[in-house]
Amino acid sequence: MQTLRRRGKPLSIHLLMAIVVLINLFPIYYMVTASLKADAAELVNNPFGLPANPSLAHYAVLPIEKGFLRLFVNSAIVTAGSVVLALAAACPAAYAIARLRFWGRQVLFDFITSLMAIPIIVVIIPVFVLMSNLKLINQYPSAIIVYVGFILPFAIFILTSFFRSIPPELLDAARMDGAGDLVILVKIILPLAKAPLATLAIVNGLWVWNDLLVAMMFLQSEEMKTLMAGLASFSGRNVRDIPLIMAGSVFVSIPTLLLLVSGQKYFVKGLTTGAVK
Amino acid sequence: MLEQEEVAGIPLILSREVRAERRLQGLGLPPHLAARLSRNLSAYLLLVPALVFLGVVFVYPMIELIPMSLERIAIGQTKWVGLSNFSYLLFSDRIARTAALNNLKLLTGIPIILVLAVVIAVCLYERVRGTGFYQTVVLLPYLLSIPVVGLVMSSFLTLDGALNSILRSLGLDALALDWLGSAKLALWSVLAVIIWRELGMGVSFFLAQLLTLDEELFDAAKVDGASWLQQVLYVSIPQLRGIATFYAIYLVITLFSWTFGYVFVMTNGGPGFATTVLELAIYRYAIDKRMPSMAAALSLLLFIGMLGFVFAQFRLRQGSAEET
Repeated sequence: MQTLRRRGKPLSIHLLMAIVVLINLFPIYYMVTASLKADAAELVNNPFGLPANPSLAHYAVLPIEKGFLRLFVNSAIVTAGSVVLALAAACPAAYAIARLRFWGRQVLFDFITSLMAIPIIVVIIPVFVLMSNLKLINQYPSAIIVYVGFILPFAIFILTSFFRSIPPELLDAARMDGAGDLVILVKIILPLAKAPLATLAIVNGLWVWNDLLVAMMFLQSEEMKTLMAGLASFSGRNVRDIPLIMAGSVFVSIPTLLLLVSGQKYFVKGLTTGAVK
Repeated sequence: MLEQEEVAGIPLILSREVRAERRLQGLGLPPHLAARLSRNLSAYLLLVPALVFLGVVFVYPMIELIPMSLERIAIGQTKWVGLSNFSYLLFSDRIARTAALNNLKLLTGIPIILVLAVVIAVCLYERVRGTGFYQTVVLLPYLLSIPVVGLVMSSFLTLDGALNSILRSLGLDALALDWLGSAKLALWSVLAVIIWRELGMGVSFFLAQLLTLDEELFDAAKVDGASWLQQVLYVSIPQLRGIATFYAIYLVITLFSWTFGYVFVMTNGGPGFATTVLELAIYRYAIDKRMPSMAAALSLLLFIGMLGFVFAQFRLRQGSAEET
């Protein structure tokens, strides 16, 4: 499977890919080098060369002075909370749909899958009004509830198809021993489902971490903002100081790039499952 | 302690289902209903947590949007105004109309993304030396968040930004334009940035599909003396039709409902309303103008539009499936 095919013309492929690499990497190279330049003036004179005297000064002010440490903690809490809660709710639901017979099962499954096509902006206004009435704006739960809601349809869809592929004999044996559904789910199914759960955690964690709209609407105060909202507002106040903005951009991208290095396989799989038959 | 009962002298442990059924019958439910409910009970209990979240985030808002869109709130008073929010948005509001048109213009990116993604996927499928590296680099923009991409690109595309410096140093001064500041160009610059970030996802889709293909398909073509290009054109690409349709639908949804981050960070909808999309218009009504009813009405219109689209493509695909 992993052999070289050599059907094509390697030279023209390399040439084309070189262009793609250049176009994809140049803005990232620009982001990193600009963040290391002394000030905006150096950037204007030397926009895409290497910095004359690389300086980490812009990174040094980020954590405390610019509050990125607090933003980071907020993002981490919201991301972890959303992913854990969503998967905890998706597993039993997917198990019920995949493995139990109950009235309305197919209709419910179709309904949940169709929710994947609903734009977030469509539902967000009433949820915002509801959360304001409940005094939950600027509290983690408001944003987390919305994220969980938007993760669930995809997670249930993926987990249901995975749970259906588990041989029924495994479950029947446990049921003969008197195990209830919850015991079967926790003791037998979840240990088998580590790979799809990892995929879902990575793909959805990335989405929550990178989201701007929900974070901006539900966590507005300085203390509760996430990294993305902080970065977006921070640019408005410091439009001139591009090296600082670039340093902030690199800072918020580090966790996601680490994720790529550690879990590219899971990530690509997660993006494409369900799409490829 | 398990409840037990004896049948012909053999003790039987009652299953939970039977116990639940008995208890329900004890509550006065008719036997057939008690039996059905007890069989389903554990399934419904397992579904509760997920259904609570989906109820709050999807069902409640969808129901609530309808009365909301028929009201208008002024000086703390809620007034029922019938369909006037809708007629304002559809016939008088310049912002809503411009925003909808801008979303439609963004759709022109779809064929570009499809062609580029297929070409790159076909090249990666050849597994020339360095394919692993190429694959990572192709996916890289998709991993950066939209706000980061927006900030980097808007600094890159300003009048005295890096792109124009490159163009000037190449002697192409005439091409050094105000990419985000000109009303004519801004939307297309935003679209280029969207394509830059989204392309990696498309390549992943097509590559994953190609990797499921049977090698024998190509062997047969090779025996028939097909050149590489012929193999790509007549073997690989026809196999991608299904995933291409799926991805195109995904892109329509993306370009109508996930572009907020790009325009909010890069242009804030401007210059004028040149890059205002529907999402941003809804956001402006809800947050900046404090007109939640108008925002609700526009949300409903967007929802109806998306629903219509999903339904139409479903019918269309069904129709074409029947033909073949």
